[in-house]
Amino acid sequence: MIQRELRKLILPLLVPGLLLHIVFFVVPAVNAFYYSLTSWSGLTPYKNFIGLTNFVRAFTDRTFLLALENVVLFGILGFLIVFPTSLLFAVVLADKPPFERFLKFIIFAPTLLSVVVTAVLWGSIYNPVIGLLNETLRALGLGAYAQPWLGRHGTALPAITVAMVWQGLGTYVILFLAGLQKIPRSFYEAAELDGASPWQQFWHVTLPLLWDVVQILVVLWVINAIQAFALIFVITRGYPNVIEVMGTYIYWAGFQGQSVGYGTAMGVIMFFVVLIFSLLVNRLMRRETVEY
Amino acid sequence: MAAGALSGCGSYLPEEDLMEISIPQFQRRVSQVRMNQLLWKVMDRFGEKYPQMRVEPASGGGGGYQELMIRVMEGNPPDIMSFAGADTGLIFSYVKQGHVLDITDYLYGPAYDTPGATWLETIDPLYHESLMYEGRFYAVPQNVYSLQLYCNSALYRRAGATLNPQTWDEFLDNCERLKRIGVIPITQDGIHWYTVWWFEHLVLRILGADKLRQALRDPERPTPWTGAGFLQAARMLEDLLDRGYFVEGFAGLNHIESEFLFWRGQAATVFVGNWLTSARRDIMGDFPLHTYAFPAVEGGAGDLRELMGYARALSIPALARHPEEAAHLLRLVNSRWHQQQMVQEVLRVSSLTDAPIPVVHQGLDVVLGEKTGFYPFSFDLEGEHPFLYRQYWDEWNRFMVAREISAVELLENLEQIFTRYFRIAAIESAALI
Amino acid sequence: MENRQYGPILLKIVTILLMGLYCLSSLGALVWVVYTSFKSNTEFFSSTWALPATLRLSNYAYAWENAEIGLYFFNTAYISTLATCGSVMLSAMVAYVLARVVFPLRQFTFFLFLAALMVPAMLYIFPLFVQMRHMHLTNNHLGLLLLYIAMGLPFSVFVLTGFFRTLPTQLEEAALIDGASPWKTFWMIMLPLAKPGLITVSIFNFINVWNEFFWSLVLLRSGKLYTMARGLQTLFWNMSAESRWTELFAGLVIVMLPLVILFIFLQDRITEGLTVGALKG
Repeated sequence: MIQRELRKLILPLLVPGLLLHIVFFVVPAVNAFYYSLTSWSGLTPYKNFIGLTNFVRAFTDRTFLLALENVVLFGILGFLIVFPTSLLFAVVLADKPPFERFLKFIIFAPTLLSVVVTAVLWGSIYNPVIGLLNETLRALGLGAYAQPWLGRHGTALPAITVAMVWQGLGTYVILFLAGLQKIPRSFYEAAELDGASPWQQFWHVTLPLLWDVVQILVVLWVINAIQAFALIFVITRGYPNVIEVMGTYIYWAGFQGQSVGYGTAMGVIMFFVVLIFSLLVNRLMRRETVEY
Repeated sequence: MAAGALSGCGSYLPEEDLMEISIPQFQRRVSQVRMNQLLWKVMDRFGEKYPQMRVEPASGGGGGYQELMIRVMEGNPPDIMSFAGADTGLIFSYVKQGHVLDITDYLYGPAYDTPGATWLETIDPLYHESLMYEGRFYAVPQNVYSLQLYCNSALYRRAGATLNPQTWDEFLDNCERLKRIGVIPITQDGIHWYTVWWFEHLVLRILGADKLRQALRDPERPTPWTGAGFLQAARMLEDLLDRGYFVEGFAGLNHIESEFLFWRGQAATVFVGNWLTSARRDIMGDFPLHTYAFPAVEGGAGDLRELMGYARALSIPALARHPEEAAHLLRLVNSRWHQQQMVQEVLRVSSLTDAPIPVVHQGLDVVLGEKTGFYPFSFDLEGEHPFLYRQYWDEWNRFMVAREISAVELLENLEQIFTRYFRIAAIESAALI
Repeated sequence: MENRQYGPILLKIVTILLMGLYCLSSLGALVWVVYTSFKSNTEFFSSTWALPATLRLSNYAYAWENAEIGLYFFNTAYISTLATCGSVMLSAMVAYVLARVVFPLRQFTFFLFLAALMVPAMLYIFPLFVQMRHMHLTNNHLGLLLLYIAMGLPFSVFVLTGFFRTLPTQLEEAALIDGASPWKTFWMIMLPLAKPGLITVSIFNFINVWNEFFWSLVLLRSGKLYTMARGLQTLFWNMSAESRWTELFAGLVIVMLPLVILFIFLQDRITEGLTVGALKG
């Protein structure tokens, strides 16, 4: 009976937001699939239907494969750095160390700042001529190691990953901290009574109970890596380069390469990549959630 | 402040009497950059004829080519467009897709301040090709950039190198001498399109302009990349790289940083366009600068008096609201009055016939005065097929910068890329509704 | 037996060293940016490391006036505020209905909002751009605002729906029995109860819109309309082309300052709010 009353709310409360969402998300997302099947340049009204040609083209496009490879490498490399680092930092912070507020500030501030800020800051640090990194190396007498970090694939990848990690660390530390604080002390005490060393406690108590946080971390980080755009774009000034990622390449395809159809097709491919990945993560990381 | 915020909140429709001009270096009046000040003088003179029009620089700021494209896609192009897609000239795909105004009729009208000549006649005929599409004119040049090798003449003399190497062998000899006195022979930008120039110039010298144009632009592939001369060009550059004449780690240097080494006297040669001096006037001082054309190759079909470069093209959009006014503004930019100031104060090269050559470019008068041909970068590949150009450039960089592939692989890959691209392009245009 | 005791201590030392290194380099870089912003360019080029001779404020004046960072600050401030209010309000409305009202396709509608979180933005950038062009929403703040409000919906709806679900149903029953309309019930009773969730979501939204770059890049052409992120990008590209690093760094400091100051004063609130959000998520 109350439901009948409550249903009167659907129109005024639900519909405005839903309408906005449909107009700005659902409609373009659906349209994207249509565009991807055309050879539209973006500059004319002609949208020629060419079926799956765009998709075939993507897989023989070396730059597309490079961009995909870079995205995967950023995802993996970044994860390998971010996961242990944020976990360790969270563990240290959970013990209420001295200067706790200051530490939290330093770790969390980059996350609050725009990616553009990170890009400008790290772009300046890595600048081969006047950048902080090279100048520091020269000042320490290690001038031989001073090099254009963003020039070669081998050095640019880790360099950008460091910038990405610097930016994202705060979120993950917060997540782990929240997760750690949820674990009741009694669990650790019980383990200690059973004779478990601190290491064993970590492995058998902490980690399993943090498992869903880890899962969130994996998904968040990978989505972050896949969608990376601003950092690379601002640092490379929109020019083609060795650290091209899917975001920048798709942007380039539509807004300079005059191939909106092809660019959207690449977007569709990325959509499926994310979809498959999320399903995989769900399957592989499914464990019984521990209730307590 | 609030009023400004509110007015920005509504639809930002361009006002009727406002002209938005997109010319590189044209910024707000407060900017003291020389070229900007000269352009504002042009705007003021324009205002004498059209006092009711207001002129403003179209914003964009860096990476301008994507900005222009988005504006054109939006249907809101600036009143004067400057095509700056990797800084090639007129972008033919915009013309093909109907976004640029045909200004041939304006060009057959009288010039601004050259009595007895039409506007078109004041522009050096060698540059006409890059302004035309299918026989009609779509742009006028603001200034001309040609590519040549710049050197530090003091370092060259100290090393015993010749200041005007006529052949590739002499050039190699120069580099060796420079290396021996501990100077970096060649500094190089590894990030932008600067790297491809080496290849194109070598091919130009070995096979001549027509063959290069065919390889780059002809969908029928009468001259595939796998032909003889191209391999020789690639191998010659490989040799240059192997000898260590390029600065270490140029892969990550952009042009500003690489030129830094040149200005500091650490590197002796840089292969760049004549914007080098117009942009760096303040740093130059009494730098011992000399320039010479890209050397010839023995037995090659090309002549070292053939230059590559581009004319910085200014156009009027097809959807222009004020075509007459825009044409007048362009006429002013091409006037002797403005062009002379440009040459004297900003040291740019003018596109006008009989224009003086900037004084500071020692040797440039020879290079430009003797030129017998002038061809656009990559024969405008970027202007018509940006995607193909990107793949071409990326592949070349894999060879020259990353050194991942051999010369043979490079050429085979290029041929594959070009063939595949033209095949797909044929499918796409065949499916025209 | 003894090995196992050294293990974790070693790990602790390593972690503290790592943390120390991280903080030192992070702080070092930021300090470098700040004191460089007070130098002149010639000073900077002669020595990257040296402290400034005098505190030049002209760089800041340049960034604020010439580079118009001041204007961008105001743009960003009012857009973020309006977008956050709009987004949070709309998502609270939507979330309540999704949490409490039973209707056909309810699950589907919820999923529709959620889907946006999983779909990469690059899928629909071109169709959305074209669509906004047709609606005359490009190159003006109205379009940007509407887009930001729409973009804030999915996450906020997700969090707030969860929130509303935790409230006891007796509240509506009691209110309706008392004769209040559902509309009033929502605005007077349910919404105020959702305050902690609303705060979390507001903070999230505000920060995201403040820092948003991609759509201001794609949609805004006129310099007067830029937000801070876009303005900083333009500044970076222009200044490094002209080798004016000190002015750039001044601009960078100005851009960083607002959120950093906000964070210093509201650090506890912000982290608490985000923790709550994280736990719910």
